[in-house]
Amino acid sequence: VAAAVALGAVLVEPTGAGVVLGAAGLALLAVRHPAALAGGLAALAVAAAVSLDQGAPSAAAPLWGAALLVAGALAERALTLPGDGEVEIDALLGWLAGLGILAGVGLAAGALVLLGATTSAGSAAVGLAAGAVLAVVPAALARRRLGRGGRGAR
Amino acid sequence: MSASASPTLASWVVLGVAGALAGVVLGEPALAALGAPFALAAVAGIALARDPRIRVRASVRPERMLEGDEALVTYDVHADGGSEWLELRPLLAPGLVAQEGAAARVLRIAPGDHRLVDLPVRAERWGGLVVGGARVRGAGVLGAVWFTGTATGDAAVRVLPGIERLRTLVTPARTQAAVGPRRSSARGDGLELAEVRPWVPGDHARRLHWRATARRGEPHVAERHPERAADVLIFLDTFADLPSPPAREGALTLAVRAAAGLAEAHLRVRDRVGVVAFGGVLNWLAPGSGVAHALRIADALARSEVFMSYVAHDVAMVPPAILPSRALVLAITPLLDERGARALLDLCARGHDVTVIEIDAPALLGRGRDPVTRLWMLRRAAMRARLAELGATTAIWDGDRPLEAVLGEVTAFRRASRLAAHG
Repeated sequence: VAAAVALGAVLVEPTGAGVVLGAAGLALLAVRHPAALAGGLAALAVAAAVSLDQGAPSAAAPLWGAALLVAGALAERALTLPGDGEVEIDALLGWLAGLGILAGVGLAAGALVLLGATTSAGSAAVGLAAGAVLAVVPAALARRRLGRGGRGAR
Repeated sequence: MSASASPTLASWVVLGVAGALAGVVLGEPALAALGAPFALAAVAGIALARDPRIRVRASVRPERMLEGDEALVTYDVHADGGSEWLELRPLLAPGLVAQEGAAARVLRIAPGDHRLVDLPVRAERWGGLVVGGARVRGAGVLGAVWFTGTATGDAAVRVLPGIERLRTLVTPARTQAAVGPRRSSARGDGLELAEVRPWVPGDHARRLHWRATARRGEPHVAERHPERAADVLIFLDTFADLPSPPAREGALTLAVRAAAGLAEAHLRVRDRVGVVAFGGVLNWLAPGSGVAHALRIADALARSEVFMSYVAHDVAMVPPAILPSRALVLAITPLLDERGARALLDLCARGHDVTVIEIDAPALLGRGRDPVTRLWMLRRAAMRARLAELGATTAIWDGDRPLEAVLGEVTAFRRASRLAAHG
């Protein structure tokens, strides 16, 4: 996934910095270390940003963002998975499903941001979405706190 | 459980914020769109994270096994908060290793549910071990926040040392008063003929040897050896150990292995066997016999450890009931500590029938013949000579040779000594 993003960014708008950053990002992702993982993700994101800045189509940005999100999550799980252990299929499928949903929602969020910034109709939609997020996040946090308090009272 | 950010959460936050800032500063909405999935993942990951509140209890079966055997550690995992991704890594005591593919388990557990997780382990080394500890790490479906904790184990397992089955045994010079399977050197009622002698007043008529009486023309009686029990005391010197060199066993391991083999062999011929672990901490087990006693001895040997101590223990501290006067003392020592050697000299001086199996510490260390080693070996030889002077039989065992061969040497030496003593 990361290689697809790097190749996409480099091939759409080839620049020296993009090539170097893409290669460095892929190499760092291959190193099994949390710092290297963070560095690799950052390098790939900057490579994509350079490509976008140099004139790559803006529509690719949400796709690249979501793909990098998935690549980072996969690399992190590969990093932390027990070397000599067993992963139950339920846990693996649950996590993959969650990752898929996250990627889809991330893609939608990116598209919404792009839409909001480029069209007037989009601005209203973004405003609504931002309002929804602002309402949902505190509600989720409040629900958690309430739930914790309730259990403690019992 | 303590919460911590996953390795990607910081990246998500940084990339999300950086994308938004770059989009605003550079006037490029695409950069904000690039960072939007990261920002969303970070916010959702933190918002949806919840403590799985995991409790782990473990049991192990079997609770007693031999070196090389396998056991099953069962973890009962309760998660009040539930976890989409729960990693369970057993914390195993040294001497236990997880079987292939069982070093960790990742599972999904619903809120309020509990799961039984079986992880097979193999015992690599004897000893009393505590198992059941585990490191757990739970995360939600997005895995942005990790909740980690460590469960301490409280399930005990005894790993008994693997033993060499011995057929040659050191015959006790003296037997006890109780009836047993060993031929006593005394005269009395028994099965094995000792001698035929002329009748004297007081001899029972049932003991008349009719064939000798008819041949000699005067009454003769048969003397027989009675069958008596023997007490064997295994004296384990646990004052010091040698670090286990690569591909070799340490001195204490060899000593425990020898002690277990000797105990098993003597119990098999129905001797009463006791154990004294004489070291920094003094432990003993009174002589006894039977299957239950064999298990008690195995447990006691599995608990053998070297405790660092400067206390000068004396043989007088061992209760007389543990150390019967006519018992055969089989001492197993690496002769590394003066206190252990002094105790053996004391036992010899008190008139016990002592056989010393010396663990060959210089061979275990594998050092060259430098002056220090040679001096040390001379001291050991001097100690061996002093023990021999006091009547102990000594033999050296390096762990490579079968113990049976060492016992064969001891038996031959004792037989030769007895013959020499009787002229």
